[in-house]
Amino acid sequence: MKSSPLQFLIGSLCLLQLSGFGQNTADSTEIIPGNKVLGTRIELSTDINYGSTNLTNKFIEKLLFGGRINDEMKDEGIGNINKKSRFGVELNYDIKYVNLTDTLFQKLPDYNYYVGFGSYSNVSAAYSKDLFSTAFYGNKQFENQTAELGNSSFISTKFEKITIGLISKDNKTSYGVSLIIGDRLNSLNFKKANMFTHTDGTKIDMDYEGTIQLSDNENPGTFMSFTGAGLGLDYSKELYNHRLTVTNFGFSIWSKNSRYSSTEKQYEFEGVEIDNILKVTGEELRENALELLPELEDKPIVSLLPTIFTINRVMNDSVEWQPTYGVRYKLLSNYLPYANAGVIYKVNQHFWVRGAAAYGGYAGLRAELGIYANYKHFNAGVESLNVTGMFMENGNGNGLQLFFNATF
Amino acid sequence: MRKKILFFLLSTFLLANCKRKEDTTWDIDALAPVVHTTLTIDNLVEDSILSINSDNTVDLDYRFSFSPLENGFLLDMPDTVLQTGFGFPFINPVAISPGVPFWTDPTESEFDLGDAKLNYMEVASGELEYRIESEIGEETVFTYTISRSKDANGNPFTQTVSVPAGSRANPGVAIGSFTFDGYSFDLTGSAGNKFNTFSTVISGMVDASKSPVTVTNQDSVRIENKLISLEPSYVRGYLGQSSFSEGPTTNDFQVFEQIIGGTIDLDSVNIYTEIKNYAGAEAQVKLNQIISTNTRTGNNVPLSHSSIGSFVNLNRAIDNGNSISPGRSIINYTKANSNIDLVIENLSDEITTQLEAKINPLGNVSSGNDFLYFDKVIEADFHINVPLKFIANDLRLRQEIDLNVNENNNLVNNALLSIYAENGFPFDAKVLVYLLDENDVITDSIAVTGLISSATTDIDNKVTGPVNSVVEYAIPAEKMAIINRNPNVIVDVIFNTNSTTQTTIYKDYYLKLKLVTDMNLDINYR
Repeated sequence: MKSSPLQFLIGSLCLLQLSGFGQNTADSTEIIPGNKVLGTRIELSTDINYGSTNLTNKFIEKLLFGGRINDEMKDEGIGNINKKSRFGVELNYDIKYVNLTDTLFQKLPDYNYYVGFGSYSNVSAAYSKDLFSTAFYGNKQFENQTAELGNSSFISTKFEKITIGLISKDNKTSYGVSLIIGDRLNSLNFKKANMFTHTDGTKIDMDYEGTIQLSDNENPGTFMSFTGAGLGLDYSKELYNHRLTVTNFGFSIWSKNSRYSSTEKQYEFEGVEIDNILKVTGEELRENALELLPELEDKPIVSLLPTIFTINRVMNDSVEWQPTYGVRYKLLSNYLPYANAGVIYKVNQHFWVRGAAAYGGYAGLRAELGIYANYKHFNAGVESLNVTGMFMENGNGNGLQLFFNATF
Repeated sequence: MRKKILFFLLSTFLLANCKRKEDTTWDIDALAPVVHTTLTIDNLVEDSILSINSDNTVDLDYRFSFSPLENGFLLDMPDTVLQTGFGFPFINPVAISPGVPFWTDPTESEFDLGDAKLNYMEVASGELEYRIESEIGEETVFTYTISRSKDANGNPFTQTVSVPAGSRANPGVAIGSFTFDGYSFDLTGSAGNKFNTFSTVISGMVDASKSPVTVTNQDSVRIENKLISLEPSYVRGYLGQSSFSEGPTTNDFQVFEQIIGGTIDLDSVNIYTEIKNYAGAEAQVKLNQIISTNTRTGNNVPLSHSSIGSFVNLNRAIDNGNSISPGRSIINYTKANSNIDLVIENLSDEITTQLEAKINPLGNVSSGNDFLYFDKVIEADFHINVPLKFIANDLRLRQEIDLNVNENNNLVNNALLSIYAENGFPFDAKVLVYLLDENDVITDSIAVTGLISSATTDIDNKVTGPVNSVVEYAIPAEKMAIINRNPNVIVDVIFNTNSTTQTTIYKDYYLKLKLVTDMNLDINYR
């Protein structure tokens, strides 16, 4: 199936439809509405992106949307791999209501208050070449060799938040505190995992050191499941024409059927041991096989939230040509520091376009393109965070960011 | 309205695109051990029949009991019908007062028990069915009493039946039954000098709460009683002379059902038989024939032994009050006194038997002091002892195994399965696998190379060290497709001992197996 911008757009809209609206995560240039003092502002934003440092879009789309990953795709993936490759999918959305006429605290007359709701999903992996190769080609290629599967991690998180905060009347500073509603935390971190496959496969030696954190295994991460709960802080500050944003700085406690393991283990695997092959049952095989896995203990897990840090240059809507640049980093998400740089051109009083080059996050070097509009009390924008991936089958990711603000 | 339609169409379109249409799949080449196990004689033979001797040799010890005779052979209680009636012997109409018996009828009835003469019986279960027709124009009450009967509390059997008012044209009818469970009966009649006889008294009267009623000599009462399904738990008296013959009867014999070929030569077989007579009467049992039949080979081996065709006398049991000491007779079948080894080695799937039995062959020698507890009559205990010392020659065991896979859940595209064996048993084994078509007919086999070689042995044929060997099974894609269509496979294991003399199996012999797969399989997830 050939990748196309339409296909990605449909996929993105699907994710939007399933999850609601989006949040401007501020890893791109902001549009600041004019200083019109009105009663209410509604802000919707979403950010959907996926990417990989070694996988092509064909490969990623099969992973995400189904289909057969053939040898050609695997060969491309292994051909582009480096010492530590990454793959990730993000889906974030936010809706925020800002009261522009009321203050929450009398002692803070220059601040309005806002309430918001957001959802954050992230699946990511960082892996060695051997891990990728073992996962997609099998271990036979490592006969009489050691496959180094360690220095790899897989993290899957999903949570919602309900926020109440303060925002300065000049929009330059905001503070928010959020109740975190955890849906899923699955984290596998293999510090070391050396696997030696003996000749003819008669034995496999494992030298493993790693940490496993699993939230409620009976709950796949359904919306607002309260598998975990926590507290998050948001902060935004504009200073010297640059905006620093910190989103979801906090923690979550996962205590509902959560399991944990931090194990260092060396063992020789000679097959699942069974007492009597003449009377073996599927249940016995399953139980004995599970004994080989790192032992998981029922234990509450405290995890930091995947906090997002961004610094962006603020757009000046009165200038025809201006530079744009920014950086972004996300904690605990196998995320590479991301940076972009480019220019913004003011087409007319209502439209701007932006072009930039970017690197990092979950993908390599790519181009970004954005279109923004401002009409009366409405601001809107759409950005492709990976134009090359959108139009090229062999691109290494895709990303779409939408936002919409309305002031009444 | 247009906006709503547009929104609906857009939503539908997006939803249709959101649904994941297929699994993500890819294939890998996996090389890994799957399972490993160590088999000892404990695993191969059920613990309940395994016997370890002091020298670590192993015997199969199988014990079982069965009762070769049906209880009915000794005493069968027939259903018995009792009929009686009453007509009023008055020329002129007479008024009958309520509560005053107008009829009392003592009756003695005799069971037809042939030449048996019982004087006492305890009933496990049984029923008295009754039908009473009354032409008396008022409700009547009839009382049944069985004289010389007792329940567990010593109370005689007494039951009353109400019969509605009737007329000659339309008699009142009562139908029902009583159970005798747990009652004991003196069967010597009302005078105490008879056998198989029980006494009943039936009396009738107008219900005491009713009005007097006038009857004539045209009015009558008819009663029909039937003793049915009487199952005694104990009887005393003379059980009579009876004989029993059964067979020839062919029975399925499933002990060797998995053995479909080859031969086995056992060093020895011993069958110890004890026949116990729990009846308080002399008995004789004769085994006319035991034939071992292997329907696959068509080979029949009749058992030869001095007891075949001869009556075995069984003394009467002694009732100690709270226990029974049975009369006993012991018969041993050994390789020395019979051909029992050949009977077993025939690996039969059918056993044909024919037997006869007699009770009280000498007549009433106890002067009517026989007894019989029906829960245990004649019992035969068998103890089969087979030392595991044998020669196996292409001994082929077959088992059908369900691999529980199909096209949808079997992710393996093709595989090379290797069994790594460390054999400490003094026999080699070849494992063959056959594939079945949709009609469960063998259609193909899995190519196999190698066999599990026998351990090395010394001059006495005792294992001196295990031997390692590898057996490989290639399952290409086309054969995997056959398995996916019918996951039942037939596994044949062919054993051969490595000596021309009988090989002894010791407790510490073992076979280590490890299954390793080199396979291409699909990974998929939704």
